[in-house]
Amino acid sequence: MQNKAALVAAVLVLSLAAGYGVSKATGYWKTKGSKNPIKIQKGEFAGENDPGDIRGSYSFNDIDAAFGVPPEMMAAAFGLKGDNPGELQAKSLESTWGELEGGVEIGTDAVRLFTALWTGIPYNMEETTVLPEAAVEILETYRKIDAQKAAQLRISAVKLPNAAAGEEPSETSEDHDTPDRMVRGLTTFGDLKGWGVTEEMWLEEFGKPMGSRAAGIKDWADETGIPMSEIKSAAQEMVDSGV
Amino acid sequence: MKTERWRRSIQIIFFVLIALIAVNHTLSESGTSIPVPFLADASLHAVCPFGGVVTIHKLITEGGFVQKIHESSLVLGIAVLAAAILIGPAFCGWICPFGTFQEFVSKLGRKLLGKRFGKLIPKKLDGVLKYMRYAVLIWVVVMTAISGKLIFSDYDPYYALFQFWTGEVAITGFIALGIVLFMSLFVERPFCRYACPYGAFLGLTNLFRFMPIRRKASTCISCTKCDKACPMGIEVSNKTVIRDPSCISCLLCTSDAACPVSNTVELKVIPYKELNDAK
Repeated sequence: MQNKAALVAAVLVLSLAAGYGVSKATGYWKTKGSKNPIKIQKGEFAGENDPGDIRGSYSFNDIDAAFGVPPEMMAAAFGLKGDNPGELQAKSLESTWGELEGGVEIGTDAVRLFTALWTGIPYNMEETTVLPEAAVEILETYRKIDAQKAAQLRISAVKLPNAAAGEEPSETSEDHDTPDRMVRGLTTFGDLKGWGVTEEMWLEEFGKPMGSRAAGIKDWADETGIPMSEIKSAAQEMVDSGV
Repeated sequence: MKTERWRRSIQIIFFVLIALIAVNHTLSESGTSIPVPFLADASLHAVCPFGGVVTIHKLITEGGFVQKIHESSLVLGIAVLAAAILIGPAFCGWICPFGTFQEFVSKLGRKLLGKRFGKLIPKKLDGVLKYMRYAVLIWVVVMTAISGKLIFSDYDPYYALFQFWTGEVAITGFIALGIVLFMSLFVERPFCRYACPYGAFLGLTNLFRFMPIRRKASTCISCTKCDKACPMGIEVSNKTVIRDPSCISCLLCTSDAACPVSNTVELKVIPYKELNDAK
């Protein structure tokens, strides 16, 4: 070829096109993660999915499929709400909560840590990673993590800013619960407390203490055997009386 | 078509393509992406061949990819390496959008500084600083292998340039971009010369590429126009075969561009015997 510039252009374009074409034809070309975390290679947990490989692009449904963490539980742990918690991505935590006071972070690594604690699979978290208080409560309530571990987590656990004030995270501003204060099965005790319902009011009404902030009243109804319809109407009255 | 027109055309096409991919990925996250042929809503990482280099350790030891890197990066990495073995790191000189960006900024620098452009850094210091990118390469590969994360993205000015609107760029990335931007006003391709780990990796192919740039001493008139044209500061005029790891195969030194004598500085396959003689 007389003009070497044309040769260089041709070699570059052809090599890239060939790489793309062959990999596409063989099904190897992928520009997105498979959402299948890598498996642990050695030790007691060999063959298990590695929580450390959870990426920011993983949705809560992906994490559920790989690790069996219910999306609703994950969303409650991290103070996120919405009609489809399974579609929330791990990285959405970074934009919602990000770096908090003291330089600690609620982001993808917190999701990895929560998943690891949920499954019992070991994971070395980053130094600045902590869990929200609600996540620790969920782990204590539903996964029976040992007291020592729970105590350790509690020391570093953070109260999420909006959740602490009883408000919804910015991402869930369209959620129906907050503006209309309507008590539903998915309403949590955190919601109720934010809407003015106190432990005393609850105890007086039902004779049993409230659940953890992250626990839903539907689950509490199942645990106590008190009909959901009764809880719902009484709770709604308490909420309305506090307005 | 002249060499520079070929090169500029390819550079602009890839610059626009990468910018489009970067914007489209942002749009896809809000559910409004536009269809880019072949690439859908790929991320910037997914189409960066350097990802194929930094993920090698994890691929071999664990069979997986470093976070944010996918099969596409490996494929592109192999394709670019194959081309480099044949014609050298032409990816740097012809395709890399960040190289193109630096060249655009340097055009402004040339206008502002005139003949003083490119003379900010003394030759001796330049010769030493050129090795810095190998330190960067080793650091990036080792730290990525240890952490399993794309640690360089926090310092990567290329990532900062094409993702500045996303809120995902670390302050260190913006600082790096600012430094490169500023330096590009004084020296050609400062990031490529002194800090680019991928350029360092591909540059090694200059040592054994099949088609090096060669200078025919018998017809050379020693005008040193080839030296002045080289954006990487290589002294072409005192070599017969360019095996300098800094060469980016831009062809600006060749007889199709700066060299005034035909068939004197060329990209050419050198027969084995002649190659040995040249050494």
